[in-house]
Amino acid sequence: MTEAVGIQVTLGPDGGASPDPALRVLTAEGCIQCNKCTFSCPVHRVDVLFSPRKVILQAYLGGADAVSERDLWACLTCGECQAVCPTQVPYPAFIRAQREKLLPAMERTAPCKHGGFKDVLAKIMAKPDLKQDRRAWIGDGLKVADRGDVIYFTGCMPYLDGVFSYCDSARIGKAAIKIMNAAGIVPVVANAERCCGHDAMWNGDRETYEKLARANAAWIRESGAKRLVTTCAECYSMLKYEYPKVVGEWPLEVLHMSELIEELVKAGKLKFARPVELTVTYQDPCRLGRHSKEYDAPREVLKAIPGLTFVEMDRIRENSMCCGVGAYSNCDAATKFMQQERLEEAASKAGNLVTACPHCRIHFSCYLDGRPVDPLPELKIVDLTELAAQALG
Amino acid sequence: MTFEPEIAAFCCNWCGYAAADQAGAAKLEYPAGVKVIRLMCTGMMDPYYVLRAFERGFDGVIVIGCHLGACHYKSGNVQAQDQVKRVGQVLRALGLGESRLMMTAASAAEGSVFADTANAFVEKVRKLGPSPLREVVAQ
Amino acid sequence: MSRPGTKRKVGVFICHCGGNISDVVDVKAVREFAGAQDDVVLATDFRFMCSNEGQERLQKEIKEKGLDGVVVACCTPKMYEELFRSKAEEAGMNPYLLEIANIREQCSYAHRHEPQKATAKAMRIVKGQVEKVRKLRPLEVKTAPIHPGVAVIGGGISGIHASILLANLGHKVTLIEKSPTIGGNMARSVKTFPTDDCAMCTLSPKMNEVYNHPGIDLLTYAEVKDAKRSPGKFTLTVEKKPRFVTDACIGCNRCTERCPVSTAKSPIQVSSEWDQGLAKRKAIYLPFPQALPQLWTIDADHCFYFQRGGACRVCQMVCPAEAIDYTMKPETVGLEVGAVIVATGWKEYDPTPLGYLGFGRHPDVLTQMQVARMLDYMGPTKGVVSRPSDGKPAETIVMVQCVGSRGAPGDPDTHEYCSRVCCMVAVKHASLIKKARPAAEIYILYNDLRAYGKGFEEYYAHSMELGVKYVRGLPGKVHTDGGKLRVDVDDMLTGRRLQIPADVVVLSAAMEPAPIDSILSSLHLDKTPDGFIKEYHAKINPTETAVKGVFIAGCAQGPKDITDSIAQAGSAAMSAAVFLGSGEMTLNPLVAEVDPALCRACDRCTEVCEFDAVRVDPDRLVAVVDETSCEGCGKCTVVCPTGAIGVRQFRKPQIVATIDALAPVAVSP
Repeated sequence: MTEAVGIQVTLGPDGGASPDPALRVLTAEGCIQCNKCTFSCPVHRVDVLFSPRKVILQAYLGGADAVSERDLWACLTCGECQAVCPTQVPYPAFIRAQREKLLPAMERTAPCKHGGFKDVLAKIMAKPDLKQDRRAWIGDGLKVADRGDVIYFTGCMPYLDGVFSYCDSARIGKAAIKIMNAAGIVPVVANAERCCGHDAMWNGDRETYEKLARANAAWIRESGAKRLVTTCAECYSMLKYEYPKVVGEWPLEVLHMSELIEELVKAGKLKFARPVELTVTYQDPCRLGRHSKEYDAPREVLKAIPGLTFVEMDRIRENSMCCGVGAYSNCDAATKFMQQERLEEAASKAGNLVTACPHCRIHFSCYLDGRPVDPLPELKIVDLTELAAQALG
Repeated sequence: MTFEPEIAAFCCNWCGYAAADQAGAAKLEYPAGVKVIRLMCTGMMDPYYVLRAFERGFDGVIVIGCHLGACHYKSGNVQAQDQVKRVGQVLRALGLGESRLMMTAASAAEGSVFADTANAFVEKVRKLGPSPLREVVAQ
Repeated sequence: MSRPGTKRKVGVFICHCGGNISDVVDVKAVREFAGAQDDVVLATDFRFMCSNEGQERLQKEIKEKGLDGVVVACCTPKMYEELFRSKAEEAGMNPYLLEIANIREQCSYAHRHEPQKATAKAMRIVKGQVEKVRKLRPLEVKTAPIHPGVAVIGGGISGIHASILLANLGHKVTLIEKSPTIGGNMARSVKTFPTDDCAMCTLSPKMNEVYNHPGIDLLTYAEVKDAKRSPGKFTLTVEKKPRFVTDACIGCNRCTERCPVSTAKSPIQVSSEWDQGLAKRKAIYLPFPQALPQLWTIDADHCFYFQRGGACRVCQMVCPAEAIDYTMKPETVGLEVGAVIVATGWKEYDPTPLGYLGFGRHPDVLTQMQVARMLDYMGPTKGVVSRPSDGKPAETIVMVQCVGSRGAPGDPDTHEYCSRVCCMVAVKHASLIKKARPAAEIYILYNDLRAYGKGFEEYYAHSMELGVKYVRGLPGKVHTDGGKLRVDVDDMLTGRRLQIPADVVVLSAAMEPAPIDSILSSLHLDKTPDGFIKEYHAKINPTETAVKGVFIAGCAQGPKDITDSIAQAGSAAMSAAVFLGSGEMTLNPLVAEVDPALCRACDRCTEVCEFDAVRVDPDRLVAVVDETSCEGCGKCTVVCPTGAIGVRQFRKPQIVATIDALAPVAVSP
């Protein structure tokens, strides 16, 4: 999330700057205790005792450490609160800063779900001497290169299908390469790539995040590429907005796949020849939408696909409801109710829900793979890039 | 100085762990780099443990359970095999290679199988060299 | 580094094991290392921790220092984990806060020639357990009162014997038998080896004892349909089939005499189970003369009244006691007991698939059970072994051993195991036939003659004196063409090929377990690869099963003779009595537990659980573990996406702490 520009330093108890970095983040803007945040919070709708306003008050009165562990980790960092806050209190950034403070005392591991898989994967990718094989999932008929102008940043894609087996995440990547090849682009898929560090950063593991960021920055800079495109909203928000804070400004342009597709279609370099006769609705991912303010490119892409009937949900754009899991660290008993709520809304509009982030797709698919809280009409989850590739013909 | 591999050996309480005990009782020797971690059943084997072991600097991981069909909990070892296969693919993609991970069976009476397995695996990993994930090691 | 507010007080006790550890591992160095770990308030060493002195030391330190975690670094936990835990409990610490660091079998013993490395490894092992203990939570050991009463399933000799013993000890026994009478296979055995006692004469008094015993509730013609387990109790659903004959029956037999079924012109014919298919029976029948209860039974599947819409009422018309009641319905009874003994016995293997032996193709190829019926003076052939084809007494009899037993691994038609008793059965039948008709020629074709028991070898030697011929070799083929039988066999000891024309060929067919799959699944019992019920431990515990409170006896567990069945039934009865007598059972606390705040009710745990131990509560939408069924294998913990379910004492953070502590120490460059 882009932090508020010009963080003001709040006075601490002795009149000087508060030594608590988390508190400094929180009090950069003054909370007026209006409670709009609580009523927009998806977690609060399921767990009435969870309230961002209450957490802020606790922090103001007792310091950041007064916030309970449960409240600290229940937050999805989705940003719905900040989107409605009249004074723009940077709540997700505060949560992140507080997690960072407490992590060493929690002995190195945030409560990462799915058995800690993504967490340990990121830590392994943070090690310097790694010779990954990140192309095995690509398959025949798709062209990639070692050097070129465009990097396709895959993130965790080579590893996701091993654990999240109810979802074929590699399909997204194959679709992306197919689209780029069709437009005459042979993207670079590098074995030197690491996890972007999104989960590490949001869960407070700054050490791992910065190692990953520096490792990625090194090979990206060395590659000489001019553009970097990714199909993942999280990688996008990290590479575009967070990395410069750690590794300095990029010499290249960072794009989300939806932005690239929009550009290629408008420039006539990509033609959607085959109609896709589906009724779809669209989930604004937190990291692409609220965090990165990119609401339009995916919509332009959907409008450009022939045969598609696109129906918006009621809660969209900056009011889009989070898929229920933030940075893989807070999936719990409450999550299923959030996912039920959002999927009911989607199913009432269309038979297909389009996502622009592989993690939204994984989380929704995981819910549909288990037992829904209440019966749901038939709903398919499909990634935007996959859909666009289908329209290529 | 020769490289002494550090091996994490996940053993089930009823077979693998008992086999390790039997090996000791029979005074069969294997390198001290082999460290046993006790699970009740290999069915408890989570891919996370394998990845964590490598992340923490182990050079190799073995999983030792009951023979197929003889699992104390019916077929925990079958699930273990599945999970080990999955994480093997992750290890391959990470560039660590599948050879650093192995699953086998040794019943409570098979102390010699444990010792032979441990010795052979240590040698295999010694040839593969230290794990690329290892930071500088002191014992 | 401990989390703020969670300071523990861990004590580490390092055992020298009288040199077994300390000769290799530098225990003082390990002690110092341990003492430097986070949360360790005491690190000490001692020559023999398992001695009285060692245990007192442990208890003293727990009390004085208020320890809330203990690591004993010594031999394998399989030796003394339970002992140290109980000592800790006596001293006031929760027993599950104690862990063993195995630095003997898995350290000093295995690395005797590398003392430095062994010492370094011992340090890591101790640290691994210290880190685990720091994360352990006290566990409540729950107990459940054991419900009184025993259900014995199966009314053969094993079930009968166990029932009598338990009832004599004062326990309420319910004996459930599927067929209309108790007695089982022993009742058909004619005589028992090696004593040649009359089987029915030795069995009948016991049958009567069961029937008349005030402490035994006998349910015959009844089957266990379902069983539910809860702590300390089994709830059995028993279905009693209707006999259509009431207690008013006086046993006059007029109904059987008049019943038209199985008469010459009758369209309904029934083969007698008792007579092993060698004779027919009526639809209304008493299985055998000494059957208990002495109640006739109508087999509705073969009765004109039931099959032809009420067409025939002969039995009711001739019954002087008005005991026939066609309106009787099946009755379902619920039974609550604390223990169950499964004594369901065995059935004879059907040799039909072994086409080369001719069973089922030629009427004169029989099994030993059929011969047993023939040898009964009251049986279908009045005690003479004769050819079913023409009724003539058999002059030449060839017995073939190992039919269906000791087969090749992977052969779908036979069993790999040895059925144990068939050698003696053949010897017995051969001896009995020879004694009755010394001129008869009897060959026993065998692989090995197993005469393992008391008096068996002598009995076997005597049979040779009687003139029974033993040929080492199993037949290639039993020729059934041309009406007469001929057995071709290679005699391994003489090297000659024999072609024996036989009047009757008798197959010593394997013993198979009686069909029990429904009972197995209801009671959550396993089978061993041979198909019999799995005992707790093949060597050291053959009468208990993995299910607490369920015991097994007799051939349900594996092939055996009457002597061994009775011995095992006694053992099962005793084990059940001890179990019931203890009054309460402790529930294993090392099972799975769900944190409802984390549960997504996604059903992944229920899909992998093989013990039906976890289900999702549809109202609360959380998974719930049945602690009596859960074995603690942990499969569910791997598939749970949120970490809601964990196995106590083996939770993920606890295991991870051990992995981290055992890992090689990283030093920053």
